[in-house]
Amino acid sequence: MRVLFIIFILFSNILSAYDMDEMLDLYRKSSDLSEKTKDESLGHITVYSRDDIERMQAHNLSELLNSLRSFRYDENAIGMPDVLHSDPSVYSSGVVKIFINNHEITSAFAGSGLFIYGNIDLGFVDHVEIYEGSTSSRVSSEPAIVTIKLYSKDPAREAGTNIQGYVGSRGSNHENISYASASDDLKYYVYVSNTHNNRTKYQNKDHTLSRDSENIHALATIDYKNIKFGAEYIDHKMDSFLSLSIFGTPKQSDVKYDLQRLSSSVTFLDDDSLKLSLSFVRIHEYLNLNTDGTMLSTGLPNLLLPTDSLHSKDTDDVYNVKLEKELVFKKNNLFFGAEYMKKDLHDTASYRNGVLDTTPVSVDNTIYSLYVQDDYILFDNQIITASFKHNIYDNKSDVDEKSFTINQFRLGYIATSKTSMFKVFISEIELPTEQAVLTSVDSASIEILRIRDISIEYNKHIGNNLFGISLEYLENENSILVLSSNNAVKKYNNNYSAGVTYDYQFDGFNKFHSMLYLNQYYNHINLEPETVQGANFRLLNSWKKFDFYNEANYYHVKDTQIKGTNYNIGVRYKATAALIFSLKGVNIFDSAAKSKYNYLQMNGFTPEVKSLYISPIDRTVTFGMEYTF
Amino acid sequence: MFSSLVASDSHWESVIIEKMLLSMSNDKIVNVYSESEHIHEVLNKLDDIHFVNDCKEADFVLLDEQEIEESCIKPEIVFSYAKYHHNEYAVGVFFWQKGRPTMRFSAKHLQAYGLVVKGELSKYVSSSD
Repeated sequence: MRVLFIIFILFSNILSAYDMDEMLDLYRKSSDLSEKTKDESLGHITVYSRDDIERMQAHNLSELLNSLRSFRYDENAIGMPDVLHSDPSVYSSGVVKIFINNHEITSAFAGSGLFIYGNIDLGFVDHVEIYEGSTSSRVSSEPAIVTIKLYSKDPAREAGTNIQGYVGSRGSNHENISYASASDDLKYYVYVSNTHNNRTKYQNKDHTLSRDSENIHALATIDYKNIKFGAEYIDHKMDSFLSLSIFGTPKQSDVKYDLQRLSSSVTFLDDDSLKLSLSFVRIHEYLNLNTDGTMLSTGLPNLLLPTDSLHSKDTDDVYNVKLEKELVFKKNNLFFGAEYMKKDLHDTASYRNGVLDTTPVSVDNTIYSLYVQDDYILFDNQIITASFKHNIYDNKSDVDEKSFTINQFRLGYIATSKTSMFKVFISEIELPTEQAVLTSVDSASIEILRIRDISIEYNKHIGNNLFGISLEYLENENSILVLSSNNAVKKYNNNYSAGVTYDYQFDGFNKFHSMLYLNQYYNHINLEPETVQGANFRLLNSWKKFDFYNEANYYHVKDTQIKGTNYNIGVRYKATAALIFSLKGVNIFDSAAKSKYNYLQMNGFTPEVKSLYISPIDRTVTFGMEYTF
Repeated sequence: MFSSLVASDSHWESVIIEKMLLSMSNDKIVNVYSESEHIHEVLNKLDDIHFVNDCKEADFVLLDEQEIEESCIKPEIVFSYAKYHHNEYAVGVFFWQKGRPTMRFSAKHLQAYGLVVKGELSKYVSSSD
């Protein structure tokens, strides 16, 4: 017993004897900017700090989306990030919203900018916050089930030049350079990157399925006193995987888009309580899809075409103006907001199998919103949060209903102590079915999808241990299939989700994270409930100049072939304060759970449904270097 | 015990500034003057750091974003590299650069005040500043 006590004292003294370099590193970790930006009242939060992103060697956002309870990273049949991917929907993740520096990246067509940002390179990112379950309507213009917020690096902390690069499997490579400067009034940050991502290729009936991509990305932020500007440009070209082929037989095809964004926010009044945010996002989209056999976009009545194609281009504009006033009145922290958003998909030219489409897809929606949120301080460590948002849609698209309204209600309670936190949220949100899909069917009419959600989270620290549990129940009312008005099936569906977490903090530099989760949700395509079992384990260690990363993500859709574990490992060597080398392996055993892509195979004149199982995560090894000067 | 391993940012900030001051001082208690509310919050619980109300009584001045009287001529620790670069009284700086916090001492200014940085922090002394 005495020996154990001596070892205990010795161990604790060793752990407490940090040198100055280590103390500076600990200060850096503890003063992560996420502590200033995260908002516990917005939902159930997962934070990837700057330190996490660096030690995980997360090169793009998709690598941070594999250890959440709500979904794992997935891609649709064109190879675009689509975490809620379900065939045959073209894009399913409109309710997963994404922000950069509190400005929403969205699309008139897809309803979310995730299809562009879902695997964005993270060289410019300081930290990422992900809010699950009943996210507050104060944040995104339209209702969201999950909200992802990225924050770019702070020029005040980044002064100087930084160069990063890595090379990887199949000849992939990425390079970026950034520069930051900060004075008392003016701070700016500039970032440029170039990526060639050569993915694993698959074969189906002598047809190559490719998701290779090339990307140029530029971003700039300028802060002058109380005004912030942001500008961004993305030029992305990718091979389009299955290219919407009904028979899984794509020919040489690609998708190209370029994004331009201008954003600004300014605060007024002495206490900065009045904030105006402006944002403009323009996406030019080009589809060059070619297949042997019929494409999904052509439809089943023309099932036996020998070849098919869809060549289209369009311009997707989103304008956003938001004014918010914060007011503190007694124990109430009130937010009043008004928002204007215009979504305009225009200048569409579309050729289906060489024939000009005379009624191409278009979207012309103006959304006016008013919202109020009250965070009421019940006691020092307990708040009640309540919010209401009213959206008015003025729809100029070719649909029956030109104008309609939706509402969002949310009530929450948060209690914290030194060692624990409890959150519960109840919400009801209404989603209009996506306009672009409606304009592609006859007699389109707006359907309101009503979602009710209750979610609970409890975390408890005991010494170095963190125990957590999260539960969510979600009911989809009036859920329909929107591909064809003749095939609408109205349902009232229940979905359940439960997760338990356990974290252990060895010391300031070494930590372990784990989560087990179980989801049951209604699959509106096969009209059956599906059960998803998952587990995440992550170990981050440091020893002298080395950082080590180990992660395993298990994902299984019960009673299906979708089952597997993704193993990642990584090591970083900090040769000097300015020079870092890194080596990382993703999905090293090529055992990550695959995704299912359905296609048809003709048996005589009878079509049979077949499936391809392909992982959204490639087995990849990368070697990287980072230098600052 | 283990909770101190995941201390807050203000804890580490106070420890770092404390070590910077003690490394230049021969006394067990260091008298400091600062007009920064943040500095007071960070350091006021330390037993070996004593805040004085008059600059003349201070061993060091901790200069954040505020300006101080020109008559206050004491060795200063500042918190921005721009200030450090242009301030003839700055003997040390604690600031962020390239995404990381760091510190630096000026050999020239230390010598002007007859100060020496002792111990492990001596490696942060720069003769080119």
